[in-house]
Formats: sequence, C-alpha cells, structure tokens
Amino acid sequence: MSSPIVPERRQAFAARMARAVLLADPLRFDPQLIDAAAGRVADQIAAMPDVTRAGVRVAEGVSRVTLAILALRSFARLTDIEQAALLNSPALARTPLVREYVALVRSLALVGVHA
Amino acid sequence: MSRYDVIVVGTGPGGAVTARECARAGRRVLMLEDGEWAEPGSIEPYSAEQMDRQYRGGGLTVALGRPPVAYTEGRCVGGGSEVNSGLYHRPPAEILAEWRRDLGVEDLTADSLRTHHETVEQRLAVAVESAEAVPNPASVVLHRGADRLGWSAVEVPRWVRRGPDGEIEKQTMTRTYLADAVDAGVEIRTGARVSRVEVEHGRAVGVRLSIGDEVVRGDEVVLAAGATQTPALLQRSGTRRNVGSLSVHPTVKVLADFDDEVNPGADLAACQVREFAPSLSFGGSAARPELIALTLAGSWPRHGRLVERWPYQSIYYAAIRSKGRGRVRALPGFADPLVTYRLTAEDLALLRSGLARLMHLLLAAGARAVIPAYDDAPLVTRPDEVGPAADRAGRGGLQVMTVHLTGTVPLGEDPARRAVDSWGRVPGVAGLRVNDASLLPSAPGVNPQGTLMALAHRNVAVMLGE
Repeated sequence: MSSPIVPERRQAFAARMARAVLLADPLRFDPQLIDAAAGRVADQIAAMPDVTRAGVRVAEGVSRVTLAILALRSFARLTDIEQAALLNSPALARTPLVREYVALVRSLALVGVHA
Repeated sequence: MSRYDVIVVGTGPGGAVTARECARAGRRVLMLEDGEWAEPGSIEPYSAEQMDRQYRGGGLTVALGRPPVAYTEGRCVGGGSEVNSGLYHRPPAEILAEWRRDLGVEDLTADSLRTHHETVEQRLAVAVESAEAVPNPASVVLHRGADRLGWSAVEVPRWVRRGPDGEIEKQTMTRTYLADAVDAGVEIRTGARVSRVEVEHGRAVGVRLSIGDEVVRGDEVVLAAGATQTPALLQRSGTRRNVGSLSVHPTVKVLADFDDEVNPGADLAACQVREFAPSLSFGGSAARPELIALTLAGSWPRHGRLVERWPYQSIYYAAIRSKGRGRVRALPGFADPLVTYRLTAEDLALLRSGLARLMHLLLAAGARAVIPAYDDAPLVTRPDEVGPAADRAGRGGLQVMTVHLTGTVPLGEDPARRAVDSWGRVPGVAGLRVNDASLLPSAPGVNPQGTLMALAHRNVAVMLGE
C-alpha cells in the first residue's frame, strides 16, 4: 500500500483554498464544518494515485504563483474576504490550469461539507 | 520461505472465483490484496468513509483527456463487488459474437458460459426484486417515465438478500466466494501491493511486493488486480504487446428534483431503461447529499441552494457504448499507472443525446426540474428547454465518469489484437494468467461483473484441467 508523503506546506495551501471557497459560499456553512471539510480536501489530495497527484501538484504550483501575482502577496497573507474575492476573479477563469485546480478544490470542499 | 501452488493478485470477483476453485481443487493458494479488509456491512454504502477506505485513491481517480473521465475502482478485500451497485447481467449474445469475430476468442458463447453463470447466480442469490414488493422511489421514477414515453424499462437482477428488517445485504465477495475460499484454506494477505511478476527462464515463479521488496514464490501466478492495475503489472513485468488499451462505458448525469421524496438513501435504483440499449441506457446513481453537491459543483453559484432539498432529489445517468479508447501505461518512478481516455466526436454526440433523452424521461416522470451535470448548466423545467440544454454540453466542463473499466488485457487468438489467449494465458510466460475484467475486449454495454465472473470460472476450469 502506498503511503504518500506530502509536504505540510502543500497540504496547507489546498486546505486554505478550500476554506476560502467555503467561507465565500452563499449557503453560509458552519465554521466547524468548513474546517473539517478543508482538512479533508488536503487529505484527499494526498491520497490520490501518485501520477494524478503529480499533475495536481503542478496545477497547485501554478495556482500559488498566479494568485500571488494577482494579489501582489502570498495567498496565505490575505484576509478571508480578500481570498474569496480573489478566487472569484475573472482573471483566474482565463488560466486553464488554475481554473481546473480551483474547480477541483471547490468540488472536494463541497463534497466534504455535505458528507 | 513459503511457496504456494497458486498466487492470486487481487481479491475482487475474478480473483475470488480463481482462488476458491483452486483451493477446492486442493491447491495451496495465497491471495494478495493492496487494500484493507472490512467487516461486511460495517461501512455505509456510497459514503465518504467508503470512498476513503474501499476505493482506489479515495475515489479520486481520473482518466486524463478532454473531457477527463472520472472513474472509480474498489481497492479492498472483495474489490469492486464491495462498492458497486450489485446489478447482474449475462452478456448480450451479440457482444460475445463481436468478441469471437474481432479477436478470434474460442469457445465463448452463451451456451458455453451457461453453467458458469448458473453457478455464479446460485452462489450470489441473483434475483429480480419486484419493484412493487420492494419499492425504491428512485426506481419507481424511472419506470413511471418510461411508461409514459412508451420506452422499455426493466428491473435488473441483483445479487442481494434482505436482512430481517428488510435492509439490503449485497452478496459481495467477502460474503460469498471469499468466505468459501477461506473455508477451503486460502490465505489472504492485505496491504500487500505487488510491484511486478518475477519471471525466470520464461516462467512465472512468484511476485515481488512493493513494501520491503519481498518476493513471494508460487508455481502459478494469476493476475486479477482490475483493469488498471493488471495491465500495469504486466507492463512492469515485461509483457507489453496489446496490453493497456482501455474500454469503458462513459456516463453523464442529471439531477432530478421532485415534489415527493425520491432519494434512495443508501441504495440505488435497480431499474434500467434499455429502449436504446446497448448503445445507450439509463439508470439511477447513488444520491447521498455529498454526491448531489458534486453533481451541482459546476453550476454551484446558480443552483447550489437546491442541495437543501436533497430528500426530494435523485441522480440518474445515461451510459453509452463508446467508440473511443483509452490507455493504461505504467510509468517509471510511479506506483500507479497513467490512465487516459479519448472520447470521439460520435461519443460526445451520443452523450448529448443521452442527456437529452434522460431529461425528457425524468420530466415525463414528473420532475419539477432537472439539471445536467456540466459547468454553468441551466435549470430545465419544460420539455422545450431540453434540446438547448443538451446542446450546450461540450468537451469543456462536462462531468463524465465511469465505473466499468475493461479491455486492457483482451483475450483471443488473433496475435495482432489479443494480449492473452482465449483462456487468459500470457503468451511467452508459462504459469502466468490474467483472470479479471481486463480480459473483456470491450465494455459490454451492461454491468460487467456477471460476465467476468462466468469467464473467470471458465478460465480456471481450464487451468485446473491442465
């Protein structure tokens, strides 16, 4: 059985993004549910088959850089409101790899918060 | 060091048949399973826990392409039988004829498989549950829509028994064939991922495990690790000719919202609408709230609030026989293979047609609204809105998935197309066989577990007669 070792930094980015997606959702999820779902997103990405995970890591790296360029600072340093606004930015939709990564995180987060 | 007569890699339906029959014939058998064992009935069907514990990659497996095709595979003792719908079909005669014609498969007819099917059906308690006796609201919807449109719909036989309170007990491999196998002396080792087959002087002599680089030795090795792992194992072990061409049933989904409660809970619809089969068929999917959220994910800003009505909703699919093919490739440095799939333009047109007909079916059944699963999908409430909604489904943003993976190690006698012979023997490597869904040359247009189990019985009977 493979037991993927994923640097905490990477897991933290996926969880932070999932949290931002859910915080901005009009359904107003319970904060505890959001935290649990965000943690689950990171775990799920870590449990992906290694080939898929490698592709996701590339998309994650591009997303991290793109978001930092758009915000002129690291995604982690933005407030919740700023993170949510950034994820809804039309500029992201124009970058296919980032769009796909955000869509993946959004799907996993929505599954997590309803599980 | 222990040495076995037969090593079976994988504990799904193909491996379970193989191990049970070999042990009953007096062979010393070891089964190796990548995943874990779970007490039957201890995990809620289609739940997040099941995804985490019993699916490969937590259910996050995808065949890359445009659009990508999400697929799921069991990764646990019992394999796909533990997580699938439990629907049973014998293969259509025309599909068997197609395989004989295209690959020269010997002795593969409805007649030659009959006794094997009967064995499987008896052990798994395969039966049709009357929709009236055991009303499943998601099934009732399909029957009602089909009746109103004059389409053919059938309640598909299932391998389930009912518990004392009417609860479903799927007759999975852990409850049936593997229980028999263990009674007959089979050893099952979990958490044992195989990295390659050990071959010496043209003969399989055992397998090498990923963890600890341990070699387990045996006189015969049977690969039954499923349609992505079996071909990858063969490729890593030096057998590549005609190995890895993937065939699936691509499916698209529609969420339907009704005035009455229709959510099937921990079950799913056993009704299939087969008016256009085998090229196109409709049925019901698992529809827990998290799966409804997933279906709506592409149109969440517009329709996300609908998930709050989940008891009144269910998810339905349109599945096609695809002209496209995919590839499974073992890559150096990775434990898992790269899986790709290319939908043809004809496939995409058939999927659009499937979406349209499925939406008509559900509206005819009384749905107050239906939403196809693609990005920015509209809410469809009237038949005249169906055509434009289906036409908007393109390669970008369309959610396509499958649970039926086949064809990666096709059997037959045509050396230009087959990967193994008509009985699953790997050419050029004595003592190495394949006995799982990989053997089916193409996705058969019906749930494939019945076909692969009968085929596994047929192949192991030949193996034991040699």
